[in-house]
Amino acid sequence: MSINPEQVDAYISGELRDESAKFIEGSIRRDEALQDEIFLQAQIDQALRWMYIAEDESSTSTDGEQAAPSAQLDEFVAGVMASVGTGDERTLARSVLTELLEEQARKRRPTPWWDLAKAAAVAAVAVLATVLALNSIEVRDEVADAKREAVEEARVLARITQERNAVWGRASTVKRDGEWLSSGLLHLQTGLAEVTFDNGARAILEGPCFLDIQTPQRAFLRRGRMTVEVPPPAVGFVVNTPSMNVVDLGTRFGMIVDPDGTSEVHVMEGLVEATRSEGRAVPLQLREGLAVRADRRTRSRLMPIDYSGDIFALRVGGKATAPPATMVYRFDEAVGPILEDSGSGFDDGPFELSLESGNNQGALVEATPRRSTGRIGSGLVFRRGESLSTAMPASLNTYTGHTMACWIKLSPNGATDVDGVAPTILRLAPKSGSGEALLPSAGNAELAGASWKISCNADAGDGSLGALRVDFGEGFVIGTTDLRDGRWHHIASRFVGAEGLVDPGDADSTATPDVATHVRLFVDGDLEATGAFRRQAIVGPGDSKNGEIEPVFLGIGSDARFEGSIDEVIISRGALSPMMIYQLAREPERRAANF
Amino acid sequence: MDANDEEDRLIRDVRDGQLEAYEALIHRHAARLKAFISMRLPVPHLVDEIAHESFVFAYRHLKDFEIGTDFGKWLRAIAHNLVRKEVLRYSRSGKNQEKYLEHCLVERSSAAGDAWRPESPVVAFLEECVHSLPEAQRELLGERYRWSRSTRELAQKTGRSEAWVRTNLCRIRSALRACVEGKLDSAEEARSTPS
Repeated sequence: MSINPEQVDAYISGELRDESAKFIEGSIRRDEALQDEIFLQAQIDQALRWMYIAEDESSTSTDGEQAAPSAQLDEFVAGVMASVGTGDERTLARSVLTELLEEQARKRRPTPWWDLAKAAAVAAVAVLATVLALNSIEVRDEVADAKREAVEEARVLARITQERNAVWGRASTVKRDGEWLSSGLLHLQTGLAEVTFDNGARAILEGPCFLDIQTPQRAFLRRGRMTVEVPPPAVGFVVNTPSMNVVDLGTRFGMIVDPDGTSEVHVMEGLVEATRSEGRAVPLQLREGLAVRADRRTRSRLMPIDYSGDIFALRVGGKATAPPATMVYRFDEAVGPILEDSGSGFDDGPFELSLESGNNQGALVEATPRRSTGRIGSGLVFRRGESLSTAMPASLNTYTGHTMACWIKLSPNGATDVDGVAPTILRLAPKSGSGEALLPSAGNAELAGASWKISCNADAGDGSLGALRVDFGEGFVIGTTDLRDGRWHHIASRFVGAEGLVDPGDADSTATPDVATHVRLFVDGDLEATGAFRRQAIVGPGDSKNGEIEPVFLGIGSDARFEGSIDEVIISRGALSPMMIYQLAREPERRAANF
Repeated sequence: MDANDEEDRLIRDVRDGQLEAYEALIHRHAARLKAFISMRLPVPHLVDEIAHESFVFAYRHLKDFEIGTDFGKWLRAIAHNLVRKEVLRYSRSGKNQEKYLEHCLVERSSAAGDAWRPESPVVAFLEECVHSLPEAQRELLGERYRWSRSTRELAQKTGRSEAWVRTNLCRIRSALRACVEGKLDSAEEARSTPS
């Protein structure tokens, strides 16, 4: 059966269904004359498309008027179509100029070492005096930079939340503390593993896979296959590959990177923005069911390819992390002085709070807060001098991983109005009478009795005023969001724990859990940027100076001067997942299911 | 200042480091360059890629361009060589044979070789051939290629069947190809005939 012109036109214009196209392809393969005809038709077809665009542009640029549309075409359509025509040229110009600019930037960057050496020799004598004069300042800055860099490198960024038959490869350079991961290369040889980033993004790796963990919001997939699920708090999560950059706009997608760097993205749900990492760097938004490839051998635009989202693993199916033991105070009791702990998982719980003053749960509490409207149901409102305390689970120590979270409402000046000392919102204090036995690491005897303390920063010299602050010993971490606006905010502090500690005596070791690297702050469900920190090593169970935490204080500082409202306090043994923290803040209706 | 003077000024500006002048040059030449590449290798994404590469190459070698000569012709010569290179590279890769139409077009492009000289004004010839078509055929082409009408829309607009539209478009393209070939042959003949 021969192919007629109608079928040829339908085939080259891409308007044929799959089966019809396959039938024609079968004929073309056997018929050289037909191959010539197809080529001839495609030649003129493509050339005409560009010729008409060229004509329109010439008429626009030479006499300033649009090419006259046919009589039936209204002006609106003409305008839209004309802009479509020129849009492609703008895209081409942009991609060419982007490449040229990148090239110029690359040329400016490297300087040959011999040139540097020659320049250094000539300049050495002249600058010596200046260097000496500025030496102390420069050295100090370098040290500060080096320390900051070391902290950034050691900061926990993600967690291996599930594994199945996972065999980890030797190429890994990532710093691991148990299941917690700092920056570096993660090499999965075989099996499956789920990595949850601190902003809540989840990545399922299928071995063999090489993934660089760079920040809580960004990873670099060097090679292999990976599925990424990005919940709302992690929108904007970025996956880079050797040939493609993908920004997630709230979705689930799969990525494949070949050994030569050629990369594919397949969008299973939602929307992503994909860009070539070099060459034609024009962003392309992809919706569900679409896929593109960035071929490393070329510099062309992203090529649409057939969607194959079903080849990606959506579940690891391994042993999931057990839900953490929790103490939960909702303050929703209608009457009576007892505030119930509705949490679970602690053998020696529950741990009630009492609104009666006096010797309250083993700690002296002179005045207690009153009930008031909370963020969800009832809450507590604290005036100066009021606090609460409770006993603590025996299994919770200062080195234990934990999460402290609650809703707070502060008056604009209520949190930071005195002497640069932050009134405490929540505090895990050392067990009464055992202070000297707690937490002094070598050379830090003053840390005896150190406690975990959540507050809003009151010292402008340490960091942003009113931002969430967590102290432990001499160390602290301070966020960036000013919470003193008279509104409810959900705050959370998560410490990943020091159980896996290998070097308790070395405070400078990046392997040592540290306040600056192993504590994460969350505000209103989102990962909070670390605005400031001071290092303080946290010793682990191998150190004889550790002790239990008891009691927990709410609203107490050195003089109990916190003023504001508190609701929905949760203290967990173990780190809550970023998604659980997000749900506490943004989806309170799901709290019953989680806690 | 006429168009050629303006173009020479833009090229001087680019040589002086003004990248925005190069953007203007791209706007001037992109569509015709793509039409030219399409005549050699009618695969849309490869047309885009080669056009991109041509402009990047031209920028890098702009010092070699002789101001006062035809910049468009120079670009076409660059694109011509890049097409040859691309066809060679493409045919070595089995991976690209997933899409048969694309594969077939590259194969035929390779088989066609250098059917005409890179400096031949094939796009100008195509424009002339289009303008010499009967009015009704020109209108049909305009609706398809300027306004991107689908076959169904064209059928509704002309009051004919989709089969009629497709068949006609196919015939017009064949006629245009023959017309361009004729003009190329005439030009080649005139060039080889001593004056």
